[in-house]
This record gives sequence, structure tokens and C-alpha cells, in this order.
Amino acid sequence: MEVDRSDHKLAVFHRLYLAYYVKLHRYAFTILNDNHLAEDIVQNVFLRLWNKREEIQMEDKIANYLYTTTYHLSLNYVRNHKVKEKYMSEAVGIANPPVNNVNEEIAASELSERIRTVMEKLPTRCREVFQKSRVEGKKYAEIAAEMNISVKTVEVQIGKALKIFRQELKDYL
Amino acid sequence: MKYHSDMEVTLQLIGKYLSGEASPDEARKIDNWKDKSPQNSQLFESVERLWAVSSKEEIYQKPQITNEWEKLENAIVKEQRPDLPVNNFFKRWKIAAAFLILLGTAVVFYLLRTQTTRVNYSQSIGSEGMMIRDTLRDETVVSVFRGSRLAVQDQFAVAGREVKLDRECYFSVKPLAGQPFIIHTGGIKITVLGTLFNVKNEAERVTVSVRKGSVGMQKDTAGIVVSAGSTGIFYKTSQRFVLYTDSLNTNSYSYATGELSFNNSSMAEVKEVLENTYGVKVLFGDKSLANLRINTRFENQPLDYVAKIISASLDIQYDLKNDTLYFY
Repeated sequence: MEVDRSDHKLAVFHRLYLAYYVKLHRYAFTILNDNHLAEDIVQNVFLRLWNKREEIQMEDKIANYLYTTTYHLSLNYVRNHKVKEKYMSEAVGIANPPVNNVNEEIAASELSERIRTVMEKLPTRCREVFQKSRVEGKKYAEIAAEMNISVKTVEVQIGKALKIFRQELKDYL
Repeated sequence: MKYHSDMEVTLQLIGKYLSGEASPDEARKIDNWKDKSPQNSQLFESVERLWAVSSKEEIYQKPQITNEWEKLENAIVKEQRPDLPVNNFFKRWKIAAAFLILLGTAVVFYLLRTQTTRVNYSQSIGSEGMMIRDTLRDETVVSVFRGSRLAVQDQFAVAGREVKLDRECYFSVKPLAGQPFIIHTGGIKITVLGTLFNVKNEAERVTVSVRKGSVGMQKDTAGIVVSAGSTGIFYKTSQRFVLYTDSLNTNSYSYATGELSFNNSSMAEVKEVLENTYGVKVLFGDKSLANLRINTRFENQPLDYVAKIISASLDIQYDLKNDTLYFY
């Protein structure tokens, strides 16, 4: 029995979808900070891949295409919709989605408290960078400009903050 | 010492990734690194926990991949096989109906959760070279004029039926209780329940020609209702709506319906209709040809046939070559 070529292509496409969907969604989320939006963008990415299926055959090229397209579509969305402004004005009022159970909720608020404590202990510049990034939601380039340091320094300081947090909060993480 | 610096570099990269600052290559690198060992993915997850709690941003939630795949597969399969045999159609309709019923509660839940009125349009239909006909999830059929684009809202026919049109499209809208079909174009809003009509957005105006049913055109609080056989025009410079009753020119959207109707029409008019419908250039060997009149109707005929009949009726010749139709 002859295998229908179009069904075969769809099966291969499905395999790629399963392999990459969650990764791309996670990546899109880091840029968009919106789960549903990330879903829509990634669906779009895969639709585009499907339309280009004759052109892009090698797995390596496919992976490259998927990540790059996710990146561009997400950034374009942000640029066109000023998502950041929305975040900034709503930052104070946003409620986190409900956690699954009471224990988790308690753990989360405890962790939150502990983080605040550790933040006081961070070296000055390190704390300032971390504050601007997580609390004020600023991009690396903005932080670098504001503090008159290089973007690389921002990267390093964030890495340093994470290292200290991990050391101090071993039991919670 | 080396261990620490490796760890720091890793944490820097994770921080960069979670901040949304990672390049596509860096993102790929992180994913490959996570896959390499359970220690790696655990390390990532612990930083993720810390990251999530340190701010008031929306928290990442793993997506429901099976639902998402089904949606995508439907969109693709539909594109691949537009002419389904009748048996399959009813079978798919039954499956779709059952799926919708099961999804009922989930949909209500989703609608309750979504407090913002922001609508996203991820899907779009259209092609530079030719008219694209597509069927939306609610069985509405859209015929998008060549070079035009129709953007469809996410969760179409579930969270609403809103679309954005940049130039021109012919709609055959299926009624769907509780979900008016809304078209955003040229700065105005066009609302319908279940109708057949054409929308054309140009630089200076938006024209809605209604064949069947009723269509509402509005901007802020002003608007008109265009009924079957009428044409509504919104003039952008004066920001006014004007209703022209009994002035329906069905030929203006022949590109979608395939129906051409000439009642004592001049060849000058025929020229315009053919150019719009078939995307060709029409030329006359002699200017006087433009004044000849013709009485005839066509239904879903190729241009060559139309040209042949017209020429025969008027006792003239025609030549059709390379997107140019020449009468002489």
C-alpha cells in the first residue's frame, strides 16, 4: 500500500511540533511575558514552517528557523503593541494566577519574603541591577544606559545575584 | 575556581534567557544544555522559581500541547484538501460539534478569565497574486481580493468573530448567536449577523455593498444600516456615512461571486468590470468600441469564454495574451 506523501509530511511535521513546541513557547514567553500570546505566536511560527516545508528540510536548519522566527515575531509584537508600557502601568496591580494548592501558596509567599531579605544583603551595584530588572521590568540595554555601565556588566551582575540567591536560599529552591 | 566560573557563566546565560534578552542561538543553547542532564534541568528550574517570585509579572505556565496541535492540524488539513467528499463533511461536522460541546465548560472558563478586551489577530488570509477563498471556523466563507489581507482574531468563533481587513473582501457570513461578525477597516466597524456582502477599503472611502441581509457600519456613535440591494459609503475626509438604496452593482464583487451581469452596459463599463474581476488589462483597438452596448450574463466562466461571447455578440474580434485582453 502506498503511503500518502502528504500524510507522511504531516506526520514528520507533528514530530517536529512535539519536539519543539514547549521550548519555543518558553522562549516566546521570556520576551512576551504572556502565556496565551506566546501560544498564538508559536502557532504562527509552525504555520510558517509548514508553508516553507519544501524549502527547509534539514533538521538543523529547521531548528534554526524555528528559534529565529519565534524571536522575530515576538519582538515585532512587543514593538507594535508596547507591551512593556502596559506592564509598567499595571505592575502594581497584577495578581499572579492562583497556585494549585494552599501549601504551594504559602511556600511561594515565604520564598518571596526570603528573597526580599536576601536582596538587602546583595552588593550595592548588584542589587540595583537586579532591582531594575525584576522589580522595574527594565531591559538590559536600559539598565546599562541608566547606570552608565556596559550590557555585559549587567549580564554579569544578574548572574552574580542569581548565584548569591541560590547560595542563601538553598533550602527553598 | 573553574567550577564557580562555569556556574556563574551558566547563571548569567539563564538570567539573560529568562529576562527575554537571549538571542535565538543562545535560547537554543540553553535548551540543549537543559536536555543534557537532569542536574541541568533542575538547576534551570530552581532559578526559574526564584525568577518567578521576584516580580509581579505573569507566571509561565506550560501549554496544553494536544489542544494546540489539533487547532493547527485543522488549519493545515483544511488548506490541503478543500474539496472534501460529503461523507467526510458530515463526519467532521459531527466530530467538531462533539468537540465543541466537550469544550463548552473550558470555553466559559476561558472567557471568564480573560478580563482584558484586547483582541489579538495571529491568523491572516490573502495572497498578492490571486483571490483567496477560505472558510472560517464558523463556516463563514471569505473571498479575499488579490493583494488584500484579512486578519482573523484568535479563538475565532469562540471568543468572538472579529477580523481586520486592509483592502477588499467578499463575505458570506453564517449567523452565530451571541457572536456578531465584526470587520475593522478604514477606521470604522462593520457589524453583521448573517449576510452576503462586499467590503472595499480605499484611500478616500469605505464601500459596503449588501447583497443579502443587513450590515451595520459605524464609527464611534455614528452609523448606518445597509440592507440588501443597497450600498453604504463612509467618506473618510468628511467622516460621513451615506446610504445609496437600490443601487447595488453586483459586478463590483464579481471577483468573488463569479457572476457578471450586463444590462445594456457600455463596453467602457464592461472593461472596468473585466479588469477588476480577472485582474487583466483591457484595451480597445478603436476608441469607438467603448460605446458599444451589450446584454448578457455569465456565471463562473473563464475570461476566454467571456471574451469569446462578447466578441461574437458585437461582431468584433478579440485577442487574449499575457494578462491583456484586446478587443478590435
